[in-house]
Amino acid sequence: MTPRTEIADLIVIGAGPAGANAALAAHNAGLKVVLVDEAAQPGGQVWRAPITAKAKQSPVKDIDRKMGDALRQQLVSANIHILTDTQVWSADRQPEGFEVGTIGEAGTVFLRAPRLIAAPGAYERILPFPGWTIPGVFGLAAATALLKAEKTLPGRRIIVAGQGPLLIAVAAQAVALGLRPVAIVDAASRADWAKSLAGYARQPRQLARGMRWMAQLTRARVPYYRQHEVSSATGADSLAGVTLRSLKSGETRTIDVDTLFVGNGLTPADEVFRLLGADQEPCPISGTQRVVCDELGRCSVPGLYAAGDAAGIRGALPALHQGRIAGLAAAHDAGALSGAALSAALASSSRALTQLQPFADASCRLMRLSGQRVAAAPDDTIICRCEDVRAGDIRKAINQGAVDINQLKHFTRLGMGPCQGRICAVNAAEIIRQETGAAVNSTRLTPRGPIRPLETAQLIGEFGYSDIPIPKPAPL
Amino acid sequence: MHRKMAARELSIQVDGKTIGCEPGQSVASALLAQGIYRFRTSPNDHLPRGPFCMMGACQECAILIDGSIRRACQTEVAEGMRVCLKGASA
Repeated sequence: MTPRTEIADLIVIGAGPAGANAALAAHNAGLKVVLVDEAAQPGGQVWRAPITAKAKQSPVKDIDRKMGDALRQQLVSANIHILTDTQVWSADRQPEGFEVGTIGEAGTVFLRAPRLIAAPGAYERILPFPGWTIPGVFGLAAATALLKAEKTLPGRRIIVAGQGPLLIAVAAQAVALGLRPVAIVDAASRADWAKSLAGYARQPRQLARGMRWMAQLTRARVPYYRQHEVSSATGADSLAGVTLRSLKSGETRTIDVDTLFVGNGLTPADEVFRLLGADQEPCPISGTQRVVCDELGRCSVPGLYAAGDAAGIRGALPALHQGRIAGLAAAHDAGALSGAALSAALASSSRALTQLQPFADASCRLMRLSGQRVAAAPDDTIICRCEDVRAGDIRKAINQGAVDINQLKHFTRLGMGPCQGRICAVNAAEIIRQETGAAVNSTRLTPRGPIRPLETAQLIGEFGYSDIPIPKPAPL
Repeated sequence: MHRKMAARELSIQVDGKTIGCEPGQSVASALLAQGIYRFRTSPNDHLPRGPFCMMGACQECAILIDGSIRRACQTEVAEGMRVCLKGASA
């Protein structure tokens, strides 16, 4: 059975603030757009839709919920063609344009268009420590996903740990659910937060929300450990205890908990860009890599555009404008929008981006995970969760001659499991960098499709033996 | 806190045992609400694993759901859904 193919003027990957606004801008300019997203509803991570009755019933005061609801309404009103619950597993550039392989309820669908905007967002970084694979340890962004979609959190005794503004958001919302965290563990000092305050003050509404959260935490008397990190976790089938360590004195203390949410910033989701061979560069603010693009989102691959966190971590509000800009640029490059119309339409978004940048910088500074902290992982720390490759295995491979991450993969199987390096690669890269001084660009795994695990049955669909073409036998 | 939650309107089978859940919940969330944290074991060292990123990236919650391996955090519960934790260790 031949898979279905859809042809459009523009493919947009990701229906978060960036992708959805890119799709809207291009659609309004007259392009035939197809928008793809893994989730059941558009909104991405930050503007995630409430799914359960409990989440839907909660009062709509939150700015992320409001922005998300407005975006979902806009997409419906504009009648944007959107494939939800659909994963992108391949991206290929052919002479006539891009071909993107997707899989969803309808099976495999190939999308073809001369232009592609990729707005896949970001993944959370988590500083590995012994015990971080024990059930009951979750990413910090996992908590926000559950809070937004279902207004619930697992656990009875929880710790919220890591770095960045998400700590405060998750801890305060846990308190509001009646689940007071046993501790907040923050790598940053008071001085680090003070440095970010000027940037936060540029977005008074967001700053006010942060202040309300802080006040809730103070009222609830949640113990706050500044300049601390989680150094280990214990438990067999589920989490039993978490050990905290002071980053100043090295002093440790152990707390009994059943659930830990821990997150150390974000890194761009870059599989599609790497598959298509788009140039990348170190991102000075987040400390990881980002795709190279011009101010209109155009990447080094003609016809490919980047928008949102994939083009450097900036957050949801800048992503909205980046998406709009990329959508307009694609429409212009397709001949649907004149240069003058493009410039006129861009002005407000460009201004907004400039205005939002200090806020984004403030968050990125707090979220930036230092390479030394990653590379300090004890030898028994699992780095690659899928294949159980430990920091000691990586160091041994380096001693045996592995000089970059692809060699490390050959030596150890790191990155060869179902997550395909999404969780481990940035951390393994830091260990290689610290041990060998390798450049950042030699620390990315060579991309290979499919970029999501697929079942062969899903890929080939229903078929009968008569559908299989039989090649002519070779002449004797 | 989960116990106080409102009427369970759906039920799914987890290794043959019926558990109640709410429409819209992900399979991962429904299991966590029952105190089920361990979903599978890692194929090499056979260490217990459960949901981790809750956004479809890490694949730690990939388990047998209605006969195929699916990410529990990205799969919405449906009446009568069959979830298998035993034997989904690979």
